[in-house]
Formats: sequence, structure tokens, C-alpha cells
Amino acid sequence: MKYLVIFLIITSKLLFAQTIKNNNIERFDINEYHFKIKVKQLNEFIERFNGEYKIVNTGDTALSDIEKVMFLIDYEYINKNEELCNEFVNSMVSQKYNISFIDKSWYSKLECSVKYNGKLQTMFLFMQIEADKEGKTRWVIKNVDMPFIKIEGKQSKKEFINPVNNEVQFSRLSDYIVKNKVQYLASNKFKMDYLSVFMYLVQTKSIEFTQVKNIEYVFYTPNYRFKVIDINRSEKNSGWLISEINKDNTGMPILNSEDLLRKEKQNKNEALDKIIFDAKNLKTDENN
Amino acid sequence: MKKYLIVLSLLISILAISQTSNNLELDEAEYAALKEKSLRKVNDLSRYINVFTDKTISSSNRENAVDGAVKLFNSEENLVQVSSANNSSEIKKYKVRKYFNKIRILNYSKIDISWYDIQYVSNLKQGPDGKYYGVVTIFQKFKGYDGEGNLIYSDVTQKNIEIIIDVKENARGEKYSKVYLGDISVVETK
Repeated sequence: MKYLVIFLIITSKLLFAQTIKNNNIERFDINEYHFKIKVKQLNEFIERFNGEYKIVNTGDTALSDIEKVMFLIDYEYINKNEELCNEFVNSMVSQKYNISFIDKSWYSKLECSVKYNGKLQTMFLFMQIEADKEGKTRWVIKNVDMPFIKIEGKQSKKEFINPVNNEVQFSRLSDYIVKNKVQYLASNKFKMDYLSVFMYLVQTKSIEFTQVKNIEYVFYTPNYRFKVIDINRSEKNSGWLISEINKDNTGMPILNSEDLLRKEKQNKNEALDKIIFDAKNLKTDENN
Repeated sequence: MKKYLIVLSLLISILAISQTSNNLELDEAEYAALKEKSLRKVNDLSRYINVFTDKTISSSNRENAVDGAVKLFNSEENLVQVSSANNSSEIKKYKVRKYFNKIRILNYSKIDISWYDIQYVSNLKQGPDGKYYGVVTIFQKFKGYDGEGNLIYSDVTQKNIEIIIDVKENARGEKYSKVYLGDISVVETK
């Protein structure tokens, strides 16, 4: 309730500033005002989150940094999660956390329609900005999820190629492939690489792309993960807004095995740094 | 023979110049100027739309306005993607010329198109081809009237328009740029 009040104060402050500017409430064009303060592009979301962009003629300079970030959260979400939103906003503002367009701390999840085997299916593409050494950027597909395709390895005490079958030119191999039992030959650690399968299906025209249905962006900060979606409504609090916040100290999304390796390396480095730091402290203590 | 060699070497040097232009960086003033230039291009598009939807203007002039609008784009292959606020699953795609011709011949006796005085220009980002890319957002109010002057359809749409900027350097080392429009997304807001 407290945050609903804060939200109303924020919006009324903006409204008040605009009204003063026009000096006549009758002349106030609510649509134009909505569009001015609507978060129209993700770029605008990032600029406003980072405090780099001022909405012209809306009196937003009267807002504190906390109010500015709070305004980027869907008010319906604030109403249901007041404490979390407050903690999140305070944390972002006190840390002066800025979103960087070119780093790996965020990604886009696209819900797409495709036709597979003549049926309309839903799949997800996980896309990220990739920058080269000169800072030139492009969107790349980091991974995909196709819930309509499931390939898992299987283990069985009855279905396997025995350890000496190599001596007879892997005579059992063709049987497993011809009879579509090849999943029994996958290793215990087998995990399907959806992106490669997707690319193959596209190249062989086995999958037909229809359209992007929905887009969401997921951002990782040192202690939180938050989702941004386009909330299209005729209200001041509209456009690309934070629709969900979670406590998460992963720091970066793990979208594929490459990210996992990077994260493991980072964890190892951090652990090593800690050991070195502790060892140095121990030595200083001994000297003292 | 010597004359042709000179021409050939000149051609090679011109090619070399345009190739190095892929790595041109912009200073703050140049960056701001390009943002302004992008807005002017979008305003040109708005003016063409006002002309080719105006039923009081002759058919040939309206067709010319469609030609003019299409020339603002990087290519005839650029797409206009139209979606409704209430139904995100209904997304329609048209090539720019087809889309403009579609709204040119809409079956209203009179069409009023006005633009909100709000234009948001994103930061420009450089792609792997060296060109700069940005997005301009504008809002359009559309009203369609029947023969008796009754308003029979109205909508307000948000148009996000891609901007493609090719920055090059001439033989004297001066930068110049060409600004084109790219794909457009049209979202009905109410």
C-alpha cells in the first residue's frame, strides 16, 4: 500500500509539473503526455535506468533517483511485491548500478511460432548482443528451446554395445541406428544441443518460422535478476517495464555451455583470489 | 594506355577509401548531427504519408508520393510489421511499397493523419558492416470519415522506425553520411 502511495505521488508529481507548464488543465493532452513518459524502446529503458535520459517537458527533474527507477517497474507488480521492489530500487541506486548495452549480463527471450511437421508450435530463442573488438555489435542466437522436440539419452542393462564388440567391427552398431534406438548409445552426460538441431532443421527446411510472438529481456545485476516486458496500456506507467524481480547472485545468465565454462572459470578465479588474499593476511599476521 | 592506368589507380584508391570508411568513428557533435538527420528523414516520411493519404490530391501526385516515400528506405525489401495492442498473435508483414499503397487506397472519403509532437531517437549503434543503426519512435493519430463526414474509424499507433546511417569519407578526408529508413513496426496503442 505504501508503494502504491509512492507511485501515485510520483505520477501526480509528473502530472503536476506538466499542468503548471501548461498553466491550464483543460489544454492538457493526456495522450501526448502518456506517450512522452511511456518507455517507448528498450534503449529508452536502459537510458532511464542509468539516469542518462530526461523526459522533455514532463518535470521529471523533480524526481529523485529512487523515484525514477521505481517508475520503470510495473505498478501492478509493485503493489504485490512492495518490499522486494523497494530493496531492489534502493540497491540499484545506492550501488549506482548501470546497465551496459554491450556486456553479457542480459539477454532477450523471444517466444516464436514455427511450423514443424505441419503443426504450429511455440519455441523460444535466447538472443544476446555480441560485440567485436572495435565495439561493433550484432544480435546472435545463444540458445533455443524447442519443447516439442525431446531427445534424451537412455541407459539400460539390456540395451548396449558390449565392451568387445569393437573387435568384430562394431557389428551391433547398425542395429541400434536402423531400429532407431541410438539414444541407448548416448553417454551418461549427453545433453541435446538445441541450437545445432534448430540450425539443421532450418537448413533442411524441416522447420518453418512464422513470427515472433513475444519478447522479454532478462537483466542480471550482482544481487538481482529482473525481467522487462512491453506493457501496452493507456496509462502513464506503460511501455518497457520491469515485470518481475528475483534475488539472484549469479551475476550473469548461463545460456549455453560456453557461459557455463566462463562462469566456472570466474568462480575458480574468485576462489583463487580469496586464497591469495587469505594467505597474504596470514603472512602479515605472522610478521606482526 | 597511361591515361587508363591513371583512371584505374584512381578507381582503386576510391575503393580503398570506401573500404576504410567501415571503421569511421563519430565524435559527439557528429553523433548529435546524425541523430538530427535521422529525425529529418522520419519527418520526410510523415510528410509523404500525409500526401498519399490525402484524397483531395490527384491520384498521380499521390502515387509519386508513394515513390518518394519508398526512396527514403534502404531497400524495397524493407518491411512494415503491424500488430494490434490487444492481440499480439496477429502480426502482419508488408513490404514498404505494398503497405503504403494499401493505406493510399483505403476506402474512406476523407482521412486525417496527424502526428504527436513526440519523437524519441535511440542511441546509434555500429553494426559489423560499419554502418550506424538507430530507431526513431513516433506516434500517429489516424481518422477515417465516410461520405457524410462521419468518423467511422480512428486509431493511434506507435511507429518504431529503423534508421541506417552509412558514414563515409571523401578523398579530402571529410566525413559525409547517407541516412536511410529500415524496417518499421507499427503497434496500435488504443
